[in-house]
Amino acid sequence: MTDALVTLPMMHHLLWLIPCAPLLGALLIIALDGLPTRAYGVIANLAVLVSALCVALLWLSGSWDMPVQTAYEWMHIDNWLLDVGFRVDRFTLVMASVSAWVGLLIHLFSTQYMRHDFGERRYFAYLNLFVGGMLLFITADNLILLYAGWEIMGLCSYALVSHYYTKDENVYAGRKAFVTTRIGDTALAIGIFLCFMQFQSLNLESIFQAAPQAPTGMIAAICILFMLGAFAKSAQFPLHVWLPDAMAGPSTVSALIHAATMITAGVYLIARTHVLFDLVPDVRWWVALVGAFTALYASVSAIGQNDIKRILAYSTISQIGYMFAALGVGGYSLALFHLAVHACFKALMFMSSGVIIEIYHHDHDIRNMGGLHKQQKFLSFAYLAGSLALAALPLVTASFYSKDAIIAATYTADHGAFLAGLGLLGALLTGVYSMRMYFMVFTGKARSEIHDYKMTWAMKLPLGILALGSLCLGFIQLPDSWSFGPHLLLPWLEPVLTSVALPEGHAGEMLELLGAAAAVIGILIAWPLTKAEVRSGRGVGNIGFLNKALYIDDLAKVLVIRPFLALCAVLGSVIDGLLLNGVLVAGVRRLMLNAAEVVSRGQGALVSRYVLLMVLGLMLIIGYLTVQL
Amino acid sequence: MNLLAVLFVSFLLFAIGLAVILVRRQLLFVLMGIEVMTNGAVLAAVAAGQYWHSADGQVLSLFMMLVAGSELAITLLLAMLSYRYLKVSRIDQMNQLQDKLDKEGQLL
Repeated sequence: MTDALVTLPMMHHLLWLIPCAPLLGALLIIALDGLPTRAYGVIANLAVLVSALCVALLWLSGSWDMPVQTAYEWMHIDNWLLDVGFRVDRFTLVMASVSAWVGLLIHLFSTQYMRHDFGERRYFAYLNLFVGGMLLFITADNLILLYAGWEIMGLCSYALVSHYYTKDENVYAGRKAFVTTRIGDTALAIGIFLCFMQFQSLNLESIFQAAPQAPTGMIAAICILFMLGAFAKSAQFPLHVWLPDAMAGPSTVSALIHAATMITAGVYLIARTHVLFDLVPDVRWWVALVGAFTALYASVSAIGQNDIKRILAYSTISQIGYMFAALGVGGYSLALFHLAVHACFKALMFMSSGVIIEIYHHDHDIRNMGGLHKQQKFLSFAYLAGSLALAALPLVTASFYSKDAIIAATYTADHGAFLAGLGLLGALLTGVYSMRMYFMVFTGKARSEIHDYKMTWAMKLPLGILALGSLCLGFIQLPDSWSFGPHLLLPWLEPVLTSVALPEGHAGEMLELLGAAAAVIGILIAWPLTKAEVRSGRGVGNIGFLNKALYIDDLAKVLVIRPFLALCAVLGSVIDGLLLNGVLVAGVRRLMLNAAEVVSRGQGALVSRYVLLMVLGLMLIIGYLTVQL
Repeated sequence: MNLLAVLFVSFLLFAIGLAVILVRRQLLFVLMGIEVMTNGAVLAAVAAGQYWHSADGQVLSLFMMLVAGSELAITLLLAMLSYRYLKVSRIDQMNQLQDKLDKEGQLL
């Protein structure tokens, strides 16, 4: 495998281009004024293409064993050094490929999808910045740079979610995304501070080397903080509330956030720092628990949604939950595998959903759709590929290979049966909501008017590639227990990410069968469910408990937002209104005025008063002199 | 003659003059008060001259009368001019040079 197809010794000098090309693209789009709007799309595409080609060159040149490039020395304080450095190992390379290439396909799709839309230039600038931030985050070799990328993504998610800022609720959704992830950002920042305190270094490699000697309590604290950061960024329970609302942005933005950037950043963060997490398995187990629980919770919520994009949002939360479950039991490479697969089908589905929504005249409600298969054959087949991949149909779709391996891996952990049970139940429900969505949109009779929509090659090509990926990506890594077929990914990643124990013998086979059965049963349930719903006009979407996602969001409103607003009001009236404005500002002013009045009365242009003061002064002087003498 | 009694009368004149200045608002009365005060001082000077058997006291008193007379001439002129131009004869209304503030504390 290490035989280089192309020898490119210069490749490790070009690492900086991977994150910087999209960042530069964003800068160009902002700086160059007055170009035709199409040109901005072209710039954005080219910028990401450069990154994607750099990543491809890394693959071709076979330089995946830790090329490190130090772009320049950022800070040098005494003998402490901070470089702007980039590094790529096997894990990074896979992740960067997903981000850059899926990002590129989304950019390509956007050029047509966003044409004649609203604020294209701003859109492309942020889109580029987003991908740049993610790639910076991935390739950074120290925590400061990693945090910079992390924050760039936070900013871009805010800006892109509230892209249609003329509507109040869209801006609110953007704010919600920003503020919720900010909780995680703060945790991550504190974690980084602790890292620096403990290791006197921010370089990832030196932290990993020093980690085994550090006190366990410290490592645990750092890991918990990193974990919180990852939970907020990756929308895990209970910090997931921002994601369903983040659907306010354009569909392509959702595709980018869910597939190539942002959401996957949390998964990457934990896998990147897995050396630390391996030292504290107790903390790591909580990652698995939260992940498995989120996987089930989000798929329950997804069943009750009628908005096509909200279904997809909950499906993302659920799928990321599986990845966290894998991380929590040490299956970092499994998480990465599922992440790549998920990126394919989720980008595909989000971009398609954008088109579907346009076709149904900006109506998001799947109950008003239906019958699209006859009109849009290509779209239908692409979406079917995505839906089946989401449902993890056995054998033919990629996520069967990735997701079932995760469920199997969770079985080996403490309380493994419980975790695997959550996962299996989630898988069953995933089949239900995924195929319910497909059937509602594409089959049956049209329940509202279908508009004409012609997709150009720039839209069909990304969808086609991603559909192919959703189906075939799994074939690079068949289950370990199968003696035939390729096992490429996991053994290849093992030097970087270590491997996880999978259940042996009957338990493993049982889990495999159960996983496959869960998906198939889910899909089979979906068909009659959809038929009944179409016939009666009432279905799972009418169950308020499910539709409101178990009222977690409303609970957060009551428990967090309302007390906070009340506190703000109290602080505003007491501290600001009374203390600062009333006492401090107005009081000082009052005092000055009164004092001035007293003084000015002394010189109020009354001669007799001057005389009086003069006499008093004289008497004082004389009295003083008398006392002195 | 009892020096103390004379000095007491002189102090009384001075105090009455001062009180007139402090209390009265008519310019003419204020000027009169000044004269009364001056006279008190003159009386003290004369008494002192008498006590020490020196002519200095009387010389001093002559000078003081002269000064008071000249001063009165000028101040009466000023009083007349102020009445003519400013139409006021009260010192509490002769405050055209003061800064006046409104309720907000701004200069009027």
